[in-house]
Amino acid sequence: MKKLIIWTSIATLLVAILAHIITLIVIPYQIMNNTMAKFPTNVLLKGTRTTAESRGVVMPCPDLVYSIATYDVSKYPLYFSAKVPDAYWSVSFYDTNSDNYFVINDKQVKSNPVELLLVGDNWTSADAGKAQVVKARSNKGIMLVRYLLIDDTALNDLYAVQKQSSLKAEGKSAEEEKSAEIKLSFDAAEYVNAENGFSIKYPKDWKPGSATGRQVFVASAPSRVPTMSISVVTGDPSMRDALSYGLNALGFRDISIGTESQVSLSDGTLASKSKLTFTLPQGYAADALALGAHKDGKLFLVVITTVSLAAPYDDAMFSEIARSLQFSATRPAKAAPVEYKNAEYGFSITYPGEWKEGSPTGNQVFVAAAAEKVPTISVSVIKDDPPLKAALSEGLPALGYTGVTVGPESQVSLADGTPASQCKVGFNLPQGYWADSLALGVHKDGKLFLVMVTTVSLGSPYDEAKFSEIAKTLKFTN
Amino acid sequence: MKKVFKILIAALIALVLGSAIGVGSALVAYDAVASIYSVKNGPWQTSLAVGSEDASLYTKASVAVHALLSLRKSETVYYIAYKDDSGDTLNGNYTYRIEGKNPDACWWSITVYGADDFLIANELNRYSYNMNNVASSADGSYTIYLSRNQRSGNWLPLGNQSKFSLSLRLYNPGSTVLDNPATVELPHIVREGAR
Repeated sequence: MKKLIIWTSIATLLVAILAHIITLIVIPYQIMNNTMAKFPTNVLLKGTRTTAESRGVVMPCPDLVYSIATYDVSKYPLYFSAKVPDAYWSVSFYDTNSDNYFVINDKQVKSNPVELLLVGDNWTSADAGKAQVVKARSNKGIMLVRYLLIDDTALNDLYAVQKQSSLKAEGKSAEEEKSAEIKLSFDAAEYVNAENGFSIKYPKDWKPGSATGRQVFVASAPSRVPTMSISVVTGDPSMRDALSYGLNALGFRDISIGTESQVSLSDGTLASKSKLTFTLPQGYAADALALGAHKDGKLFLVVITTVSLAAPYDDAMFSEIARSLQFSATRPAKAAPVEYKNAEYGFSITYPGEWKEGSPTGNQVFVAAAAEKVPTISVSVIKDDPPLKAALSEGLPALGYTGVTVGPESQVSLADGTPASQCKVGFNLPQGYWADSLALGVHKDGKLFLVMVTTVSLGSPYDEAKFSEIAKTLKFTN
Repeated sequence: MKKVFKILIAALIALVLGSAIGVGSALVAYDAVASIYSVKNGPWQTSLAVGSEDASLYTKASVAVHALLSLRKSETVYYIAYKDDSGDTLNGNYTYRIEGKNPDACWWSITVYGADDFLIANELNRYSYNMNNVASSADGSYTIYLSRNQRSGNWLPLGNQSKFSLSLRLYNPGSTVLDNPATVELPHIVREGAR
């Protein structure tokens, strides 16, 4: 018995030593694998200024701006090219064991832009062109580009330099690029929206439903939850503003929007992700995941909502669906501006092609609005030729608007040289939202021609320069 | 038969107990052992093997957890401080002075991190000072204050963190640093008083 105890103790000690060593070996591999999974493979993500919100990798340096990629050179070498700035810059490669096996900095590069070819263990070709060949110590790993931010005023210049870097698989045909599918954990159906140039995948058993308002697509599970909606919001508001406005407009209550985190989509586009909770009009508490990506001056907003009583909130799956949002390389052409002509009063005005003409009321002779109702443009013709300020401060309350504030007037010229007055106006809409408007007035033929470009900033931010530009397209034809 | 059963039970105990002791001791000890074998310089500690294949298993594990994607020593030497000059653990309830001069490196920075190894959120978005933005005297010496409440001069906010750490990064360090990491002159970390 004593002998058995001694042998058991020795065996325990040996197993403990072995397990101790294996654990120490596994830790770096495991952490690298977890980190690599956060970033799409062979796509160089160009990060922004490092802040307390930057939580992709521990101990980030706030004086640096990073670009990062998970690389995989098992099939193809990777060609990396970058403009090297005047301040500190380096690109470094890490193997799956977290070892930094290669680094080159701004003082060591032989050319600017620098060109590197990262090759895997099966690379045999001798032709690397002008690029310096870097032999990857493991076929998969992480590459990290560091740009020193000397001071905040240089941030935009640094972004411009950072933008001039690229990473691409050498020898991969366009067809292979196209057919490179993202592996999803569910059987997927795909929704493609050619008009806005994007696609998204969702579980095959979810059924498309009716999109309303700014939504362009809706699909729901057979039990009605979870449900996914995709909205395209012009005016490019922040995700938080768009959610507050949109959910309020749908009649949801007790809206709580969580902290935003940065994620990358399957095509490498950076997006914001947030968890929300709210109460549905029917009284049920709902949980939702929202993902917003800014592209072409629009916000693409994916919201996946569930009522946990019926189907539990599944962050991993909802995130996987939302992150399958992918933008097509060929961006859709922007609709050409449209000119409205009014023969009766002899004027014309040009407005964005995406906006749709509506029904004028009262003194209005023309109205058009973006798909999500804001911004909106109206042209009114007011007899008796009142001053612009009087027309606004008396006319708007008559329409049911409250809290009207009229800003100072400035003198401007229309595109055709006609002198005009312009000012900013704010007021409460009957629905309870605060609206901002750019008002432009022209006195002509004993009438006031009043152009108002109005928005609710929660839905689409107030953009004075853009609104003024639209208003100034007013042109008199006689 | 009874003997075989006893041996099997003994083997199972050795396997389960040994694995638990081995895994547990590795998870508990990697930081401490890495620290024992690190180079000490006042309140600062470093390892010149960070990022390289020469690093010990303990150092690799510790770096992976606390400072993943660190560069090798030719590019950057990282000094970390969890304690002040007196050997007391850095504590957010106190005010500290960091007093130093430009070290032998092309560029340097001092960053404060929270207990989770990430930057500490603050209204100024200020997390570090470096050789370009630190206000210094004519002789190149500087003082940086660390405290919860705002201070004039070079000030790094501690937020509500009770524990924090400092990282001194020396980019493209010179031979003075690489040859004498334990004795090269580094900034002092001096505790002043509560808040």
